[in-house]
Amino acid sequence: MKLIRNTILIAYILIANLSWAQSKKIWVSGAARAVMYGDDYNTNAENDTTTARKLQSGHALVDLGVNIQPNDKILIQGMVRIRNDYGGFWGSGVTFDVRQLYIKGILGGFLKYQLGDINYKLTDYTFKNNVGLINKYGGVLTTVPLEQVQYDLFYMNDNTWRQQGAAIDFALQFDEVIEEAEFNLFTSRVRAAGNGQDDRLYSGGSITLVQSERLKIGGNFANLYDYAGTSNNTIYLKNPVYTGVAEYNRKVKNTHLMAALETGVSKLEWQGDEAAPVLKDYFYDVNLKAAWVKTGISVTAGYRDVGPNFRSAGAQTMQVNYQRAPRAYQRYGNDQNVRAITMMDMYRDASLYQTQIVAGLMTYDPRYDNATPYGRATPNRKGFNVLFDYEDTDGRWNVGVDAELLTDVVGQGTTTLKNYNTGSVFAELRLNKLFNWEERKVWISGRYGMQDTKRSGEQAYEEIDLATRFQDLNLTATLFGDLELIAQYRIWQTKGDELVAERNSYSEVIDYSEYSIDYNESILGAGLQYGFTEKTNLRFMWQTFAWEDQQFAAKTDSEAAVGSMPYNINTWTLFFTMKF
Amino acid sequence: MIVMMKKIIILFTISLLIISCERKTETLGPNLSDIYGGFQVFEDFEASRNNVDFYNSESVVFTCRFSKQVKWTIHVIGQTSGAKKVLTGFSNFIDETNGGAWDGTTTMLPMFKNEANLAYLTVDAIDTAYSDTLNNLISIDGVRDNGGSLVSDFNNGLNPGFNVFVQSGADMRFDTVTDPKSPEGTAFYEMSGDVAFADDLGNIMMPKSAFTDSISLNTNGEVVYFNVFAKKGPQAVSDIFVFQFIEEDNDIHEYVFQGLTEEWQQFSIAYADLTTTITAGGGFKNPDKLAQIVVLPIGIKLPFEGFIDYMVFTENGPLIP
Repeated sequence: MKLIRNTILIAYILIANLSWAQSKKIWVSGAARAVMYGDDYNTNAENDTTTARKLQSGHALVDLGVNIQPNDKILIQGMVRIRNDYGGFWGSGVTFDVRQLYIKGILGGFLKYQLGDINYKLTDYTFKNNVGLINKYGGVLTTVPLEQVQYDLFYMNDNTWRQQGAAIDFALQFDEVIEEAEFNLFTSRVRAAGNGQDDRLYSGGSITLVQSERLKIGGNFANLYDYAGTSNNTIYLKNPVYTGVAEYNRKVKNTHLMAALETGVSKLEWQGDEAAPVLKDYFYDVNLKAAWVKTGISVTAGYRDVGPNFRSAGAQTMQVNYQRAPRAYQRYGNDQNVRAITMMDMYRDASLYQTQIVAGLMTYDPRYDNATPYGRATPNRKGFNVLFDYEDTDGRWNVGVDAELLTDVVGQGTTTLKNYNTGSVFAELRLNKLFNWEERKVWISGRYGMQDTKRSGEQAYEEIDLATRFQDLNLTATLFGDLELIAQYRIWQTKGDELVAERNSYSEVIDYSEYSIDYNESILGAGLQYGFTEKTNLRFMWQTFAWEDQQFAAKTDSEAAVGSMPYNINTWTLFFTMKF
Repeated sequence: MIVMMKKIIILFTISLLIISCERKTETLGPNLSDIYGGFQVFEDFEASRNNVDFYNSESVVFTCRFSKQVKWTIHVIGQTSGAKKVLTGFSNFIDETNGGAWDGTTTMLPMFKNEANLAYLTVDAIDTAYSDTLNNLISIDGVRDNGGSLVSDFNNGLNPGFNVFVQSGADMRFDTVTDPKSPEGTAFYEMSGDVAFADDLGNIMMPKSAFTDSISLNTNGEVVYFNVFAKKGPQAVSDIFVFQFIEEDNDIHEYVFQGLTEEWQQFSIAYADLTTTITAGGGFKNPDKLAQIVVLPIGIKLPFEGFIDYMVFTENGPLIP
């Protein structure tokens, strides 16, 4: 078996290399990286005699994509990943996987199509890969491993979800009334039939009517559904979402004005299941934006209302699956409790992330976003959002403020509504530009953020008060040549009490779990970064991660203490990344 | 600029139209007050009447109001018969709309008789153990009409025309037993003994002409139900009764039940579900062709103590005692 695998691999590389040399219609692209982690665990909470103090891990991998373009209308890519975990030798520990396969092209000169792996998104309320609050604001140190996690999971900057299926795009042009009508359609399979379950498909599309460069209106449709007949199952999930969008742009002197609206309805049902509810609701989201080109200032303000029963699988699936456990130090302490997910894990553990959209509402962790865990499409929220951004036209600084002032649409267990206030201020100073240090890059940036969840009430048991604070400080400074010093300090704190809704399999609230926490976690680290080229970097970093729950001592003997024992992990990392 | 403003106004008009859409405004999930709120009784436990005539379709409505939703249970105990009715619910009030009405039916045999009844309420919540008993007993002036066609209730002994055959075993007791705790009325019938040489202890043959009610059964066996109350005594080793339904064409269908306990139980079966054992007339189940019923207590050569009462045919469902 190993011989066959190696033969295929060698043949693959030979074809790729020969092709590279012989013809530009076949070429190789991809990426490579080598990563080494050295973790040093420590705790003062107990005389932990069980957990390994030091762990080393790492891997080297290369993604080889063969691009075949037999003519100017077809492109085929097949990419394989060869990975050797740290310590692997002569095939032991080596894995050989197909990373992606797709065929795309143009049919009839106007119809674009793609088969196989596709990256797709529609709108905030239909189909979008939302980045959670914890990963929204990157730092110079934490972004390095996080980018690799995102690369592995096909989380793109354009917020698409990786799907396996087919997509077509085409546009029709008109002489009157509207300039163009754009059509985008896709279908994918998110679950294969088996174990008494049907194939689950996700299909949808959009139509955009471009009246002029100023006005666009359109409609979007997305539906997660069971394909009846692919198993003996008699219950069929259906979750269609229909939205309408309108966007108006206008430039008045040096001011760009934009007004945008998205509104729609959703329905989630389980046909054939008499006990299942039919959840129907609507939303609307209005935003106004003004950008002054000469000053670099832009302001966006909006209001939205998302109903409590609004369900949109493609928009509400979270990236992080909080029901999973981290791979590094999964169990720790003398009781070998499962260690809670931390931000350190989220920056480097791809196994915590979701690769496929799911129906209903996933479990979320109030520490990392209690206000909008499912993005803008989080159900049962209404309120205002504001974004202010000031980017110096000479690139010397960038400052910004964002805020969301939301409330429940309907109360949970009481008529009193919760208030969710989220906001952050951000500043980045490019000192080299401020002081004309032409040969050196010296950037410092920082963000302070907060999120408060509050509910008052006539009864004490109605009161909720949960506060999250986060801070991030970053430094990037050129030492000499292409060698840079990078440093980051990030802290995340949550304190207070909340009643977290427990939902049944139909995503209805059936109970509440009492959530009480007073914790903080922080990462402090620094490293050296050498850029061979724009796409090739070598980084050596050291960081110390600390996690502490102030309530741990008080709840040592309770179930609530599971996974909350304080600890530190010091980590050195060697990161080589390359794209070609 | 004016055109732009018009378009913005259109966008906001659309938004306002959507805002005006209707949406259910009920709170999500269980009420917090039901989980975390303190328990208080806002209105005491009461009954709508102290005397009730169930025969004339009267009922008793129990009422009470609490500060939170709780699991409540009302117990009504017949002071003579020991009959018991249990009403339950999960709510913050009790009335006729949510299970607080009693129509004279029973939950645990025996059935209620013309007697005085004690009623009390219990509440079961996480932090609450509450109970309240009505000061006055509720007197039943007329028992409920159960409907159906009566084969026999043994209140006046064996019906004239019933024929009893008793094997010559030891301590054979085939007789009417008078007891105020009888599941219905004041008497039931005992079939006990120890027969070492045969499976059955004997039998009672009950010709249709000797049934208490003059019966004309529906031709559809799916809707005709046969019901009987039965129990066993402490000395019984076996716990089987066989009821044979012999039709005019000599087809014989059987209802065999076992699993008797020392508490009265109701056994009911649709005529169509009887097991045909002899197909002399073609084996069709024709309730209207019923000629006689034969009851056989089965000891299987072991001591047996069996009791039966209130054999009745009902239509469209089993008897509701």
